[in-house]
Amino acid sequence: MKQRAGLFKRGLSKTIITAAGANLVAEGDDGAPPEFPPQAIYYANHSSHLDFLMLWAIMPAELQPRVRPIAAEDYWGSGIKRSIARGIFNAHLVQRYKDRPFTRADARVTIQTDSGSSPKQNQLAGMTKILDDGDSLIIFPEGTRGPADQVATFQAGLYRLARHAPHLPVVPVTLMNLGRVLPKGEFIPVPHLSKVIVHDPLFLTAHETQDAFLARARQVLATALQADVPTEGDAA
Amino acid sequence: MIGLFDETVVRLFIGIGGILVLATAVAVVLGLANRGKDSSTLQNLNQRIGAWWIMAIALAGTLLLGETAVIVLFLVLSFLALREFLTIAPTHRSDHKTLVWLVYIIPLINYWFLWEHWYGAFAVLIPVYAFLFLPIRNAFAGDTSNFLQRAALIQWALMVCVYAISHVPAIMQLPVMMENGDRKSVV
Repeated sequence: MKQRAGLFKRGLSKTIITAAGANLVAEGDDGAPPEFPPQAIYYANHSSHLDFLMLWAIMPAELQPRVRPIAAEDYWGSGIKRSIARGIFNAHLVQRYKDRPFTRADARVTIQTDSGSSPKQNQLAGMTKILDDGDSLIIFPEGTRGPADQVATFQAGLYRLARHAPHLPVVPVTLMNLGRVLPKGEFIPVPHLSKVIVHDPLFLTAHETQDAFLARARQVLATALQADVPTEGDAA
Repeated sequence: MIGLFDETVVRLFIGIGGILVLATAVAVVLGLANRGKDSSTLQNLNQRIGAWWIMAIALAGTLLLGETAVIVLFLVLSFLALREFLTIAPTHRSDHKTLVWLVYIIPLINYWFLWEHWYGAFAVLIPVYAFLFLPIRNAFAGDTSNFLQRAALIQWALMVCVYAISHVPAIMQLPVMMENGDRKSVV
């Protein structure tokens, strides 16, 4: 039964990705095949609804059932979106803003603020439990979808999770061009060749500060994106 | 004659097949001569020859199936070419809705006119109507930054990936057009 659900999910995510015109190319840091630790905290840049699907689809089949994506309850928590997130992809929903719905204005503020805006404690409790149970997490530390070629400042959750389980590898994943295939606010995907880079894992060192770790983690993604994005008005 | 396979096409494919057989034979001999060595050049050569076999067989197969199959094949090729083009072209976030027209709608109309043998409409759709329509649609996105650059880029994607490529199947209709003019106006 579980195996059949896995096959269904594999098929579904492959179908969505193919329909979106994004081809799956996954590689490690040096263009080698990507390596996935058995348990890890995966984080990636976030610019599209396809992000999680793409990352999930490239993982080895035996790891997929034990990977839990973190999704925003205020967005994914109702109606059909809830059944997709919870029922099909086993997402763990967290509240981004406790007292009111998350708005576009919040998203703008999130991008502008410095690192270290603190997540609610109960947000983290659920995630640390998942790690304690031996499952992996996929989180998008920017907190919301942004432009395809930029990485916003990270929220503190990534650091807190790494501090909670310093023995776990923190695996940076760069998702290229998915924000161009299906940007925020659009419904019809436009095909682009896209790529997933699974970088070498990071480990939190004993005395590393929150700001230093978040900056280091963010820099991995920012550098990889800078290397690959076509710039507008090259000649100018 | 099966599909579009007449005597000329048969001779063409005998020629292409002969060259491919020769190329494959050369690659096999080179492989035997360099046995045990790990040559990336040789590997690259084998991949290229393999790709040429696939292209020749795919084209022969669609020609056997007839004109509709050839037109569908080139529609798919246009689609793949657009994907490559848009990947390396610096399109802007606000172009997205225009790109949806560029990728899904205009190529379909273009190849449909071709399938209908409606040559007059096929010839002007992209360089006249689509070239006017796409910048207008893009203006509605309300983003003025680099507008002319973005408009030109989208137009050129269409010219290279759809209009130019669709002239390969269009040329196959050339004898029909030379004799009858636009078949639509004859009927």
